[in-house]
Amino acid sequence: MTKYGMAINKTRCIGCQTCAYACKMQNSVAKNVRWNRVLSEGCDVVDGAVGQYPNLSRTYLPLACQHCENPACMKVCPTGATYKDEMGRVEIDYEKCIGCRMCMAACPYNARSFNWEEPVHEPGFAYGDKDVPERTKGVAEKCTMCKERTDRGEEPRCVQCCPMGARVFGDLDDPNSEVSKVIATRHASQLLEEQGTHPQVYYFE
Amino acid sequence: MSESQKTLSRRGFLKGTGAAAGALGLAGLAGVGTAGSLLSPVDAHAESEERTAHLCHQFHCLTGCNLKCTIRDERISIIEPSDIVKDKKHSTICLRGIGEVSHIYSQDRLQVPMKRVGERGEGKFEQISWDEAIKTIADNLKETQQKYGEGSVFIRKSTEAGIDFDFITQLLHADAGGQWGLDRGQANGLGPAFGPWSYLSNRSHWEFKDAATIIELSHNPLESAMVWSRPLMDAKEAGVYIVAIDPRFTGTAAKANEWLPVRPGTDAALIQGMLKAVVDNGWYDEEFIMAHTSCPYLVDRATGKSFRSSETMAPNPAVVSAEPVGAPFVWDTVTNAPALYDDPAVVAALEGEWTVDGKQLVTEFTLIKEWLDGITLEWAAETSGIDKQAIVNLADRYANNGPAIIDIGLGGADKYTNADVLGHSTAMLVALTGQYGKKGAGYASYCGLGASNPSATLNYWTLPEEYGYGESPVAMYDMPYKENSIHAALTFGDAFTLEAGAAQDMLNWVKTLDFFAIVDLYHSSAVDYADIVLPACTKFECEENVKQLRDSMGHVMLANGMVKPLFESKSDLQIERLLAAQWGLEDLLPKTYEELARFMLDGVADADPRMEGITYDALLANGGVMALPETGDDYMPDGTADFFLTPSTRIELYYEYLADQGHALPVYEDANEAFETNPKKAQYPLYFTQGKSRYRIHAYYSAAEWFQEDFGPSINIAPEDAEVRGISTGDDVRVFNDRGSFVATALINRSLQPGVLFMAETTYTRYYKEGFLQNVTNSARLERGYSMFFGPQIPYNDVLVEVEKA
Ligand code: SF4
Ligand code: SF4
Repeated sequence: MTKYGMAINKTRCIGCQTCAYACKMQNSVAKNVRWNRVLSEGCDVVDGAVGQYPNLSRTYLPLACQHCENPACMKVCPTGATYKDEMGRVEIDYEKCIGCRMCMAACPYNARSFNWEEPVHEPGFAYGDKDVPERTKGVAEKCTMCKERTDRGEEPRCVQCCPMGARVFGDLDDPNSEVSKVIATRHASQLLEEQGTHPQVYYFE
Repeated sequence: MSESQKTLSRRGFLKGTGAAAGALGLAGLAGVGTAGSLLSPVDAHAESEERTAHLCHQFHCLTGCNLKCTIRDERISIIEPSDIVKDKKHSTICLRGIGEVSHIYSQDRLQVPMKRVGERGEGKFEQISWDEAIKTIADNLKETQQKYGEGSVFIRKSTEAGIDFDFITQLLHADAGGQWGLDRGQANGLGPAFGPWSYLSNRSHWEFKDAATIIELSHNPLESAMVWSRPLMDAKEAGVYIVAIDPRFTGTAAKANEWLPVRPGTDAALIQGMLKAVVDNGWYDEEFIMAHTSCPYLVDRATGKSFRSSETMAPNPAVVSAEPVGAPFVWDTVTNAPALYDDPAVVAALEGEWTVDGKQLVTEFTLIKEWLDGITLEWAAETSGIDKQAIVNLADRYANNGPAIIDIGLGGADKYTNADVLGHSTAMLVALTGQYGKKGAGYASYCGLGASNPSATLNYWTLPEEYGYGESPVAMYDMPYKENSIHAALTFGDAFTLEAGAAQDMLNWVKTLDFFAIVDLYHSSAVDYADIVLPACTKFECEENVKQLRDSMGHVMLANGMVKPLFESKSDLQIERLLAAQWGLEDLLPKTYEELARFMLDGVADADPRMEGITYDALLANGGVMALPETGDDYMPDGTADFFLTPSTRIELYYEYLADQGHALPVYEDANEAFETNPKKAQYPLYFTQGKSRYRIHAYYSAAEWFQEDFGPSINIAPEDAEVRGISTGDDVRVFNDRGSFVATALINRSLQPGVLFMAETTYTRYYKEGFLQNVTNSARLERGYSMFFGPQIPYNDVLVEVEKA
């Protein structure tokens, strides 16, 4: 079996937002929507700081769908629109999505966006990968682990573009894959482990 | 809270707010299609034809990635790292490369030639034809030159446009505006010691991991230059101790082991404190000093002049005055007499004072020690705001703990009038500790330029001898203040508001010109002041399949697969040709980018065998990218301390040329406006600083709507400064001083030192509610700067302001 996953090196991540825009471009993500965003942890502004001057710190948390092994979103989806695919990715069948937003309430990672209106694209054409399906008003959307690219044997766009090489992608079921090795040797952890969702996205320092 | 900032928590769960500064369209321009209507949505793209293009992206971030573009229906739909560079290390991109998909098709692209119909500054325009626009420009420039002489026309191309060619300025013998005054303040100060171009490293930044300590001095590569900061993160993972000296808790400071929050404009005091600790504790490297520096050279104490031979000349013509100088003398302890510095038989004294023919001769090192005797660590600590012990600890770590690198920014500390003192002080620290010219040691801006990659040999297209730049008696940034003969101007890009401070002075002067035309891509701040506006196309667009040929990242890169210029825009080459044709001179220029590229490569392998096989046709067959033979992981140039572009070819620490001005040694002085004891602080208590942002290269990329969703003209303020003024995040605030004011959005940000404001460098006026940041910046000039290599620098950060709710 294949179980795609990712590990993100928080020491190397400089919060540059390249992955956030790479994702927006690749997936033709509409105006004011993001599948992937880079948070300044504990700050109310991007690139803020935590602590009292001059004892400050700042860490970045790139955040998107965690492609959980036990997805909270999938469990609550009444139509089966959200599903776990054969490569271990959590995907949405937009045809089946009825816009009830149960998944959004269930996701502990706030990873999903909802199209309240017809998505607006700036620039006004369908930029991005030609194989990525269009989304319309009334459906939920989120990171697909670059389904279209990974199906072609390519790595996700955020992994390809990260200038720091902070992202490692691969098959978690293969103990010899780089991602599996990194998770094992660098003591990678998962977000909100206590939720029992078992993310397939790991973080390490 | 916008979508990109929505947190892990439920807060901000619902749909984000609209973009901070939405598309404004072309103000006052009727009857012209907006980007939106011209680029109507295309669907069902799965069946569309795709092709690829490759090009070298930006010079101006000092990186120059090769990017691969996927073009569908003649629209650039995907931009990604190059797949045809030699190695993975050079297959790079940052958000600005990706953001081009938004930027190329921005609503604020200039689309058609226009002429002004309102007052200058009002921004009212009417569409005209290219013919009319070009003829109007030529007629006005001709008339001006006839009336006032050739030197009455100022023409400047922006950095990015100017690196490929600059024909029209030379064809017209125009004034190109002299010194730029941008970000070479430290370089001014370190140049006489290490040589004029030594602000760029002579060793590779991939050596960072071999250092024990890296000091990021006023340098924030993790936000300004993501791609070439990879080696810094490699160093971090390898356990190198990283220190960030910066008034602000920058992205780089956040990754450093230690952050030293200096007060704005006082970095030199901290460095001088380190110097004091190094000399007082004997932490200097005497062997290095004797072999590679001017410390043993003799100075006449009474006159402050170096004691030099009148017969033997120093091997290298002086870089400062461009005059050859005599070879310096040292004191020979064997003969007890002055001797030439490079005589192998001589055993020179490092310290001492002797009388020869009534002259009191003293070594430079003795003078340095005497000067440092007058400095205390308490003073350094008080001035810089950095604890005394932290200064001593850093000096100890730097001098005594293995190889160390000082990596300086181009910007930041350069934007204060006293930046040369910083450059000179740091040069002295490096020289005395010998942290130079060996693995893991060095002092420079380790940017994408310098020695990190091999460079190519290319031909340079020259014009016949009778053409060339005119005189530039007054630098552009001084034109509002100094008598000059300029009556008409043509700029490619927004020179007037980007390359000068105190915008009101500059724009008032621009208003007095008889004529001003601008060629630009976007509706930049200066556009509103122009009589004629010409739309240029981006580097992704061209009338031909090919465009720029560049030497970047150890590769020769020929842009190819271009899309046709959008709207009615044209390439710079065709614009210059149209202009040249008005003087009948277009045949002196290449007809096409292809002709230019072929010329640049023609026969280069005869002069440089490394270029063997890199021809125009071979390049095209390879997607436009070919590596130089040395390019690769093991390219690690061995920059040494054995030769410098100084008269004696050693590091020269005593600046004789500034002796009359009291700065032969880096005597500390306050910045022009930004210093604690300035009485002006009573009225304007806050330091106003600006710097680079990942979302821009200077103002460029301001027009990208994707970035506008996250990042507009906002001013970062520390919580305590905001609180006393009743300011909350999101408020409109007015920033003001005697020079002017502007309104921006407040962002309360803990990462600021209290009392210091920060804003990303200037963006276009149309994105502000009122004014723009250059309205408050400083136009002071350092008088001694006029005798320096890069001239006086524009002190953009040497600024005090007050802030209030708008
Ligand atoms: S691109 Fe890489 S370094 Fe930049 S924010 Fe994303 S993960 Fe971090
Ligand atoms: S702007 Fe970014 S993508 Fe473009 S050349 Fe510079 S580093 Fe590379």
